[in-house]
Amino acid sequence: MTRDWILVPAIVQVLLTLLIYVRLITVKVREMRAGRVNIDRHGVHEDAWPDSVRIINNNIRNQFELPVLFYVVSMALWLLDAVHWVALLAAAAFVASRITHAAIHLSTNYIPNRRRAFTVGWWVLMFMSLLVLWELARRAAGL
Amino acid sequence: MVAMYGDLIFYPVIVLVTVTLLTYLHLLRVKVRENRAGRVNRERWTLHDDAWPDAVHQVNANLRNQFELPLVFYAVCFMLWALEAAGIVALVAAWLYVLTRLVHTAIHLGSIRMRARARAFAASWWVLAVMVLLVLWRLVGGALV
Repeated sequence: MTRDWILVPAIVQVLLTLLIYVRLITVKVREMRAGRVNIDRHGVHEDAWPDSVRIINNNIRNQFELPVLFYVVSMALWLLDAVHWVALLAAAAFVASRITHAAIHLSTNYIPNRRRAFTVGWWVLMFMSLLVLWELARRAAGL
Repeated sequence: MVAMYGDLIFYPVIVLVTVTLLTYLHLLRVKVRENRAGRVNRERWTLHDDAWPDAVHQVNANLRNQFELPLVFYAVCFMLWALEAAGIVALVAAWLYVLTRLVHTAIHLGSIRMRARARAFAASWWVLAVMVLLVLWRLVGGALV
């Protein structure tokens, strides 16, 4: 069971992503009713939407950048049976940084803090990649 | 190696991958057509999206979409397989997901019918949510045992 625990932070990150779509649809419906959407262009052009929608679109796009690597690294750790408490802690920290990042992005969108949250996630992901490399090196050395 | 029941989860996965690959063929066809018709700004097309006409933007938008929630679908399918939780419910859900994505893509590329497209997208969102719950269910169940 231990190695399956690495999938818990991964599935929480998935839940975060799904929930942001709920926020998107809420804001889209609101702006549409308020007449702030250019109906002639909204099928193809993002500029048809007001900023309140585009900010969420940006965040959603962001969820399919580094988090995708996080899924890959988490699954690599699972496949290599290299899940230990350090890896679990790192994965939990990554997801916490992403939740913080999304919370800032979708509320105040204060860039310095948003960048800080993003940077934390970047470092943690870097560290998790090193854990994969470490496991591979350990195996290569026959340890 | 004996084929395992759980391995069946990879069929919907590979079908969706194929759909994405085929969308690139469509993109190429539309690009060639628009280019021959002289509707592409060749000074700007290497770097600027606005060099292309709307017909190309439409396919591009769909392709971009294929790299959003479908990636989560792939990850969730892998998790279901890893957790040996790819049972009949997971399989039906995975096929339903691919079906709703096919409908979404067909609408996206065929026309600009936003309401129908939104409905297909919403359906796929719900199916994916069920698959995520299956993973959570297994993880929580595993922790309790």
